[in-house]
Amino acid sequence: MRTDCPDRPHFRLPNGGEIVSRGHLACPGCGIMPAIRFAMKVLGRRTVIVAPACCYAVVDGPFPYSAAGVPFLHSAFEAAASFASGVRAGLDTTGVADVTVLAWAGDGGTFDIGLQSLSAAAERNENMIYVCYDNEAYMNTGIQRSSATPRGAWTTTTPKGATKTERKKDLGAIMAAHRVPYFATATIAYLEDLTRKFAKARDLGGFRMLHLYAPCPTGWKADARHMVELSRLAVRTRVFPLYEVHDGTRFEVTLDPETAPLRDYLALQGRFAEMGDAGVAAMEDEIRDRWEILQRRAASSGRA
Amino acid sequence: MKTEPDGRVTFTGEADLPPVAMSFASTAYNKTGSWKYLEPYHQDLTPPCNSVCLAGNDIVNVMRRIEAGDLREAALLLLETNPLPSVTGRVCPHPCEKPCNRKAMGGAVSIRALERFLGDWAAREGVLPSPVPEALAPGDGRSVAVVGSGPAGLSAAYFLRRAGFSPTVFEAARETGGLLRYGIPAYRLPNGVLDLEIQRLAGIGVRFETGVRLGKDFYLHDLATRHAAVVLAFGKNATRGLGIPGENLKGVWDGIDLLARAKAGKPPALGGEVAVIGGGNTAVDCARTALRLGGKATILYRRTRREMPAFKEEIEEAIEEGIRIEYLAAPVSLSRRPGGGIDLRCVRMALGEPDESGRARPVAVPGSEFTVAVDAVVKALGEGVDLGIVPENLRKGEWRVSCDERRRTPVDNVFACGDCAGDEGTVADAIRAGREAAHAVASTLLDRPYAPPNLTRDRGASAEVAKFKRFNRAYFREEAGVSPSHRPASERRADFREVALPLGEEEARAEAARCFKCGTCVRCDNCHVFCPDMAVTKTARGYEIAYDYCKGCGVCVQECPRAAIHLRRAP
Repeated sequence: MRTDCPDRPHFRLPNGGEIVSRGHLACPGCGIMPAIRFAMKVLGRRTVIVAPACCYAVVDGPFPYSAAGVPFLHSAFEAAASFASGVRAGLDTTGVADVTVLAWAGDGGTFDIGLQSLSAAAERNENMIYVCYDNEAYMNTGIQRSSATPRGAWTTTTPKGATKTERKKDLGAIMAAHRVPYFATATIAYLEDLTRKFAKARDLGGFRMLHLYAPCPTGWKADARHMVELSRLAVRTRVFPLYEVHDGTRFEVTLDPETAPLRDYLALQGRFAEMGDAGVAAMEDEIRDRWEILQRRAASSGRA
Repeated sequence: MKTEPDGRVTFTGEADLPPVAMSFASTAYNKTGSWKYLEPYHQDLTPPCNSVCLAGNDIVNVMRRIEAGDLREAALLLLETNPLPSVTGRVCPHPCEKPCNRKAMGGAVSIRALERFLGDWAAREGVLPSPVPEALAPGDGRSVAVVGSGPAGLSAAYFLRRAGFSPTVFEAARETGGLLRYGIPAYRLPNGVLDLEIQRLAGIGVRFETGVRLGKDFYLHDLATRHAAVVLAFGKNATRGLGIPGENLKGVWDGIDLLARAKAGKPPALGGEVAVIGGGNTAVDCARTALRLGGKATILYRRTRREMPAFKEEIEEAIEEGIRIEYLAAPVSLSRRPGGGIDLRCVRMALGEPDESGRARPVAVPGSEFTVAVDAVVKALGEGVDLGIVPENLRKGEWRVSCDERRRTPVDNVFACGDCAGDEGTVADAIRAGREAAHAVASTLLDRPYAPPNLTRDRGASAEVAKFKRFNRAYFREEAGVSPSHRPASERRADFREVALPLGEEEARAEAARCFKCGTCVRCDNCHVFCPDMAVTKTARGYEIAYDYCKGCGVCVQECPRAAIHLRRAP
């Protein structure tokens, strides 16, 4: 486990120019933007992005404009991973070996609608990086719940009085079960950790996946200025632990900063306003369970 | 197809369209700044230490340079405002440490110990400030007389020299330094330290004449005719008596005299029970000096510890060394005791209504007299200014030279600062007063507006003091500081060597790194890396916000660790 502290204000981050450009259509305080900006700084211009229907597909800009700075292909909602597989096959067939294929999908297109094509591409160990930026609901279509929405959260389809009762899917476990070469979680508050993981993914082959936690002030009923704060608190409360999995078997917690009370995290978001003490206690239990499972997996990896 | 200068693309016909709908133009044409109703701006605030430093030191930026190991730059910056850092680094009561925001997370930064470290380093390295800063028009080397070489006089001469004048400091004693040399015991301020500071002044061209006394060897009139201006900076040159019978008995010492003789290495024989009368720094210094000379010292003070004007830590150190303080006791009379020694007759006091100083007035309790047998008594009630040496029209009341807020006395081109001008404060206050006097001279002789510099304001910080509650705590760790170590009381009470031990360079750099740099942009890049709209760019001078793109989310304000970015209503 890495114990060094990323909360240092002096980032060891990739320098170099910007690839992603200004003028994009993200809401103020969007948690996707620092992620794609630094991901692209790591991956470089020799990259093709495939995006299914998702926030970023809108944010990137209307034809003929694009903020991504590299070829950006829109796929059907359920097909990001298969579309990206096709792009890879086309590049391979034409002898282009130095281009990274990046699938860039939201949680709806990953956890729900695109899970089948994702599973298939993972099973074929397609040579790509698949990123799920997770803002825990279908945000650009109007904040509908997804299977990535946490229990107890408000969305327009789990409204006041009927907030979500199901737990969030464990995407890491699903991908680990596919034995993909690399899976990692990352978030923008810890940009050094995030860029390090993108670099690792870039330098490996086969199917690599990053699960990015991307706060959505708009859909979470939060103050836009708290975007990074939410990202940081998600890690410090262990709502979103930072870890990586090699070959589906070797789990490692990459960063475990000083913990913070769950209520600090919940208090910044209106979507949990209805959660009473019992709900908070249940969420704490769930977090503890998940953390213990992760610890066990990491510990058994150590013995292997 | 047409591409407009702003990057917007217009298709003129079907032939323009690409075979597949793939974007090729940048979104940069889209000025998303129009969405915002709030906008961020970078603005440094005044750090709390800086807001209370009487000398006006730019503490935070000195800390930054020490942390970076750039000691020369750090020293030059400190010397911009403080001509005597090795002195204040030892004797200043460091009000700067009291409001330090670091206090909540591991204790205040030891600013004074760092000042001492840096001052001593600068002295060892012989660092000189540049004599004529560009900001001031040179005074053409015009001659200015400074009367008194205490901290106020030294400061006035230093800043006069740096403003391009040729100051000469006149000192009545045989050696320069005034109170610093004769009034502060060696265990707090060794003479060697002071000598190096004064050498620096000589090094930039300040002249000194010692052993010449105003009112005896020359008069104000002489100075005024021979020099373009005169700065009166003499100190407290008269000791207040006790006003009780027997105060001139053998074995009764004048406190200032005792300190001067001890500092000069010629202390009187002082042993047995020594009673020190008073509650100020002089009293505490006298008691600690008597202790080091072999006496058993007791301080007699007529109020309680809460009202004692001596610096708190001096009192604490004295108590550690075994000095007793008898509170609520005042002397009534002194008489020779048969068989040697002195009978000190005292009366118990009680605290009454507040007096004009705001402190509770001590009132004698009738019938509570008691007698203590002592071997010596030290009078340390405080000192006054002897105004006999200046003409009558310069006197204001009994104890001070008359001067206005711009340091001008009623006589043209004669200025005053320091204890004689009523600046009854610390060395740092004297430094400020001396600097003000120097600027007053410059503004008068050069016919310029009177505006003593304020480094924090001059580098663009606003007057608002940076508060911890606006900081982003995620960027700071609880970190205990170096507590400047002291020699053990049992050891130090036996000699006059310094009580406080110096910091080493590594220790100093680590301590300076604990400084939060409150309200001061240190270019940590948070605003730049976290901006979702990539609207904060780095420039040679800091950051620039592209308001054309900034959507006003406020992430940069929230993620600024130290409150150097703020939000305002967008125009």
